[in-house]
Amino acid sequence: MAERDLTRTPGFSRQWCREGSGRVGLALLVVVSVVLVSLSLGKVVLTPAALWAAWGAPSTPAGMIVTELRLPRIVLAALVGGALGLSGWLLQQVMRNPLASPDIIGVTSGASAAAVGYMALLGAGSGMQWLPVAAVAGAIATALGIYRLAWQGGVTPIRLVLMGIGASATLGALTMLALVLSPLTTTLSAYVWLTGSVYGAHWGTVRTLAGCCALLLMVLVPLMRHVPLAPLNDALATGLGVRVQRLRAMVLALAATLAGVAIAWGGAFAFVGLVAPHLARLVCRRPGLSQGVLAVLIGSTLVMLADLLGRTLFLPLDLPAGIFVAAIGAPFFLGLLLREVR
Amino acid sequence: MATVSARALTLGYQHQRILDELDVVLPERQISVLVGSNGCGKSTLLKALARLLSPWSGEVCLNGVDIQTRPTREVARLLSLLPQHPVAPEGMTVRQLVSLGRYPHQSWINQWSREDARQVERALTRTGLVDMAERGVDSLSGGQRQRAWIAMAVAQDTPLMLLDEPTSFLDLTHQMEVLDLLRDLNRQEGKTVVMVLHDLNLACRYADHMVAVCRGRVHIQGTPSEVVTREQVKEVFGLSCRIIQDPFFHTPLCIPFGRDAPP
Amino acid sequence: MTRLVMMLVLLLASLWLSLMAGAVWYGPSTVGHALLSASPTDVQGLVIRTTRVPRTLVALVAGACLAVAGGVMQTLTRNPLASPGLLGVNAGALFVMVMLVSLWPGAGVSLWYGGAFAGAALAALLVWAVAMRGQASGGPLKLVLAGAAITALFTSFSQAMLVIDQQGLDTVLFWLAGSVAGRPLAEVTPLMGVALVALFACRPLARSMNVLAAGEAIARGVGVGVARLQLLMVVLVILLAGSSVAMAGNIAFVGLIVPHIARRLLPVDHRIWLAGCALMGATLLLLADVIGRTVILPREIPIGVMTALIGAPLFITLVRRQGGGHGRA
Repeated sequence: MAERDLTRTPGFSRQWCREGSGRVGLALLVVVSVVLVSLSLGKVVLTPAALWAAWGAPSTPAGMIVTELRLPRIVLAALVGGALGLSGWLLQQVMRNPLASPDIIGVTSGASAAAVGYMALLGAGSGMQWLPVAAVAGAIATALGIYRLAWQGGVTPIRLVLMGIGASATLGALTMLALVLSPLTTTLSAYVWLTGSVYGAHWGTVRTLAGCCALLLMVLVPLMRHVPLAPLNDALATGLGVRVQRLRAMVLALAATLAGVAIAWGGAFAFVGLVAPHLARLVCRRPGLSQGVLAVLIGSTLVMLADLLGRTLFLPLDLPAGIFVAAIGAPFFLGLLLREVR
Repeated sequence: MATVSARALTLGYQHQRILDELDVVLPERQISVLVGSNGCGKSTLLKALARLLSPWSGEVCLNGVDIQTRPTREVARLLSLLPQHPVAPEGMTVRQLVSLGRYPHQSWINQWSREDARQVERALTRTGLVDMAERGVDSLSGGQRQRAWIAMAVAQDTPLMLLDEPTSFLDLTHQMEVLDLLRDLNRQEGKTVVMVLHDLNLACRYADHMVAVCRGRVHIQGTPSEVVTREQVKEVFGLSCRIIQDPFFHTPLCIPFGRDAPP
Repeated sequence: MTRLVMMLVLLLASLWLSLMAGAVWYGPSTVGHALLSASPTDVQGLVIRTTRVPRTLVALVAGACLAVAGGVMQTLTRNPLASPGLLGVNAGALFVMVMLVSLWPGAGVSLWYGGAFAGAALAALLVWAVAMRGQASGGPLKLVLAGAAITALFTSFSQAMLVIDQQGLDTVLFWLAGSVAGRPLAEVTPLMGVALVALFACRPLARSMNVLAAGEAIARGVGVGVARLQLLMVVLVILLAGSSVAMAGNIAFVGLIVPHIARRLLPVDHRIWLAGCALMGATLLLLADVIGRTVILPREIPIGVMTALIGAPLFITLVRRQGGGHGRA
């Protein structure tokens, strides 16, 4: 009984995996330290003391940099990464496949096609505040479409994945068509968007995204109890009293929406949704809730780090974080791929 | 207590009819074994009894109520199911796996009650897995893994257990081990056990009640000595054989002839 | 055999159509005249010889290459969903090429082409490693997902290169979208040579591939040098996919769909089946190019987009038709 802690009062009981809780605490520490480092690095480097002073005086130039420029950007990166990590973890649970993720299932390409189509139709510049709405709509529509296509008196993970790959290719082609046919300036900004970037984040965006994530979490929390049973075979899960098809549909919808909102405000970050849950599994081997939490924290860390590299490594250039997500994620991913497919 | 029965049950996949107006009542507190040749519909019947398949017509009744109309969680407190080829999530420990069996008894606020803890310990003890409780399911041998799955069903604490070929891919020693375990559960705790078995002789050894399924219907049912006769085996399996009495356990023992001429 | 001849006839017809079609349509006699008597004053003939003939040839060879590469990969991995596009070989070739174009713009085409082969090799070896390890347990889905992930990886790298090097965008976009237009014949001739050698090299291996299709153990049992054969097949795939990407960029789904259609129409003898793949792949790409360059004049739909728009719905129907997925993941 050494590996578990109990919380039990009359009418409420929970069991906690000690390994998991410990690792979550550690990951939180990492997140906090990455936030602090990101706050102090940039064109203007702040010492811890200067950072503290700037924090206390938001109207000074240093304070402006910290609270109005760096912090919203960091928080946005954390939210985007966390949402994508969670989305990937949920998908991997219900698809019963460690390689499922929003990019591969087609949700990302749905959001991308909608967003790039929107840019191409309106031209970059005007009406861009509605771009996120288009992207979310695209993600959700794609998820629905894939679900519908995979439905043959029920939905199996295999068919969902295959439909996702097919839909992904079609939408990718449409995105490419829109890119080729639109003027070069639009193409460029579309590419930056496709790579994923949290450049120019401000508190308004952060608030909207945080609100969306909070709403989705409220839906997710009552569902969490059922998620660990999703990786079992359908027959086993049904035998235990899970309504498998309903659970699958709900988690899929939730994961697609989560990825959709993250992409809508942060751009089409690839790989976070795939790599973060993998790393979470590496950090805590035992399946369960703590893996999900770890996927969120690791996703956040990944995007925050990528953004930090993007805006400091090639000063004065400010490169999109998406580039570095791929660069950090790829080596991990390849190693895992060869390990995973035994 | 729980009884399960099928009435005029017809169902199939796509356009192919597998079960054809099948009627069967499975006796309470006994071990019932479904036998039949490949593709006769015995696994389909077990799945229908476990509400995995919804019938085209007819119904499966659990305690006299149509199983399809009952909430699936309520059914899961009466009936546990071990399908063929169960798959455990990677990295899961035996204890975690067995704990999943408590799912139908839990609610959002109560996810680990004293009863949950007690039942999981009991299931681990019953199946002799206490020492391996913290090991990963992936690291177990075939026989141990099958015991872990049975432990999950035991933790589910249902009066009725359905098992689809619980002995497949096990060597003879482990087949006996699993079947002995199931018989203990039946004799000591009064559980109703319904399972599909391929090996006719093992079925005779362990069954209280045998159901021979043939072409989507129940061909004959009763005690092993009533079901396993030369004529019935010929009709159900299309196999010529001789039935003798097991010299030690006095159950029927089938000696198949195949192409060899009977001596 | 008659079907094979019909496919050949169809190919020749689309070849002719490809020479005729475009912003301006030329009659068959004009085309024939332009091909037979090359007079420098004949403007129409000049247009046909310098723009239509090269793009037609590129589409012809690239289509055949992709389809045969798909067929060989499906036999090699024993996975009906294997293809250079889906498993990331094309994306790998594309990425290395895009990287060279961005980082070393003055290097010239031959280095870029070399990059395409290197990238294809990199991705193919990766896929192969996964496939070899996956055979014991993974099942077809794992390989496909691994391939999709490899594709996503290389694609995001390519996109990143684009964002870093915005000058190269125009050149690179050409490859990313896939196109057969505007390649001077002199530039692609060596690639075509490689492609043709690889295509014809499939013929002597076809009989061994027939045996391999029945399973590795069986092939070994009847005395096929399995490891050597597999290695040769991987090399073929690299050459075929690499040269098609270098010629025409990213063209999706030809390698997946064509072998499937060919399997329905032809006996599953690799000698005939792969030949059918080559003929049909070439036909498909020629027709896709004809459609792409005529429907939204004066612009063109990139051929890679066209094939994805034709191929992806076919792929979805294929998966749905098979009703796959009752088995285990």
